[in-house]
Amino acid sequence: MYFESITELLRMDGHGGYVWASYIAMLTILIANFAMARRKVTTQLEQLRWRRQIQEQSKADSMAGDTLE
Amino acid sequence: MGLREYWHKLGSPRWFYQIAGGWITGFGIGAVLLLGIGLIWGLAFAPPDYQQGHSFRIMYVHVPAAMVAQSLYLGMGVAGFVGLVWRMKLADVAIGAALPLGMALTAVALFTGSLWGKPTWGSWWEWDGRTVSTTLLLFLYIGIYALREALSQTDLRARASALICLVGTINIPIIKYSVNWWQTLHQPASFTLTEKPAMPAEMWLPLLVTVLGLYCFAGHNVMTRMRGEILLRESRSNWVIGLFGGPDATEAKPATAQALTGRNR
Amino acid sequence: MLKALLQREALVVFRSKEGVLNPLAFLFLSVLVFGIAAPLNDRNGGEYGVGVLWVLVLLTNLLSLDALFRRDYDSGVLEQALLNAQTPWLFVMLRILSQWVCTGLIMTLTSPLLGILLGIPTNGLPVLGMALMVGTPAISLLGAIGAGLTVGFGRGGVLLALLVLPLFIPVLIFGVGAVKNVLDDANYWGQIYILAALSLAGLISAPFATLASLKISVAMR
Repeated sequence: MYFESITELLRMDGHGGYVWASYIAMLTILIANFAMARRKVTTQLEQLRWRRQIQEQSKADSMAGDTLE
Repeated sequence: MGLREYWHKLGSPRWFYQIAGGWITGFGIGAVLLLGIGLIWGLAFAPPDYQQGHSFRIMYVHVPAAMVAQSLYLGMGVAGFVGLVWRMKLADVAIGAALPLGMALTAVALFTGSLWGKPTWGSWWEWDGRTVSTTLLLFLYIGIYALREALSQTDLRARASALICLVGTINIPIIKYSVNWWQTLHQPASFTLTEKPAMPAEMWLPLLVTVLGLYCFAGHNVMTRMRGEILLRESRSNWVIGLFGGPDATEAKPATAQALTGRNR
Repeated sequence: MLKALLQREALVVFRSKEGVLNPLAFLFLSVLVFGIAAPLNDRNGGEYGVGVLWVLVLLTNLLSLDALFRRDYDSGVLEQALLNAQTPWLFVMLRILSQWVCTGLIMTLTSPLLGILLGIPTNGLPVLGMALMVGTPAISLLGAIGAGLTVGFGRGGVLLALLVLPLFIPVLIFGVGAVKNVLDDANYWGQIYILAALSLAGLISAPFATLASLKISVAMR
């Protein structure tokens, strides 16, 4: 590592605030975008799974109805 | 496989959905590795600049963000062209998927540029050529975003945003040239294809790694969003239902020959 | 065909006085507002006034562009023109031309007066007029693409501004640059040529893009 200690890494001769704020901004945006993209897929998958379940349920129900008759 | 056939397949959401999986994994691994190595390298291991001191470490987030943001807009322009000429539905899915990330990264580039400007130029904001053209890029993104929000019909939204992406992409070089002519205070581009970088290797190597890493992240992010959008748009089609063990589940398995023909409707 | 369309445009321009008068009145009024809020005389030897004038030219054009296709769209004339006319791009071209006559041309003609009001030295006025003359067609042409796209929305004004203002920046930069150069006794022909090139490029490409955008808007009805 270039820096002698963690405090120096954080301070960076007075430029630490600027540098760390930049890195944190970048990481926040990356994580947020990752989460949003992931959620977009998972909501769709959940919805499709849910729809599938309902379909199967209704199929099972109608079959049960058939045997009763 | 002929080129023409390949082109047809590229237009098929089903085919894209199936091949995207592998790419997403690959890009994801690449992004984590390269961004992890590059950012830590730039933050803690690269030597400080002899003039700017440690503030130059902002470069390792600023430059990749600006580069990828521009590339994403360019990609949207290409997608717009493809969408207009071949009416390819996937093109609009790509535009919609690249838009949020591109907008966010342009904002990051501006924000980090401002943070870099304060210790280097002495002010948060300078009316400098590349700062202004990046701000204009942000507004081009916002314009497309607003247009897409205003249109609810998928087909019209696709055509309108394809057109405006194409118009914007054609205009970007003119805007950049004129703004550069107007004022230049910025340091020259960190990377050009033709010249050797002016920085020593221990400074530009981490930058190269973060740039590649952010491109991987963009690939991962855009393709994931595209997959989500495809599932939403095609949620009633047989192959999507088949993904969940429906009646035609066997047919929809990616390895079968039928899945690869791409003409799914 | 051409004659009928030309007659129509001429009628629209000259019958409806508001088409000619409104942009001009708006422009002069904004100059007045600027003059009151931030007195302009002799500031930077006229450079400030040049910048203000070009900004106001852009904004006036935005207002006028918002109405460019609105009436034809609402009345259904646009749909007919796109469907029936053999050359729909001719219709579009003439519409843009008449918009330019109502804004760019009139601004060019009145620019000496505007320039004096804004404190631009007299030796800058001919170049100001020339820059407006060759630069404003690009504004009308590029703006028409956005106007065609936003005509379907009830209130497209802000969206139109968002879409086309960034595209106007080159015209703004070289338009201001030309007049600045003449005030600095530098050569201004480069900027004039670039403005002319921008307008020419717009003339070649914009009508087709406008046509495409109008088709989208018509399909939205």
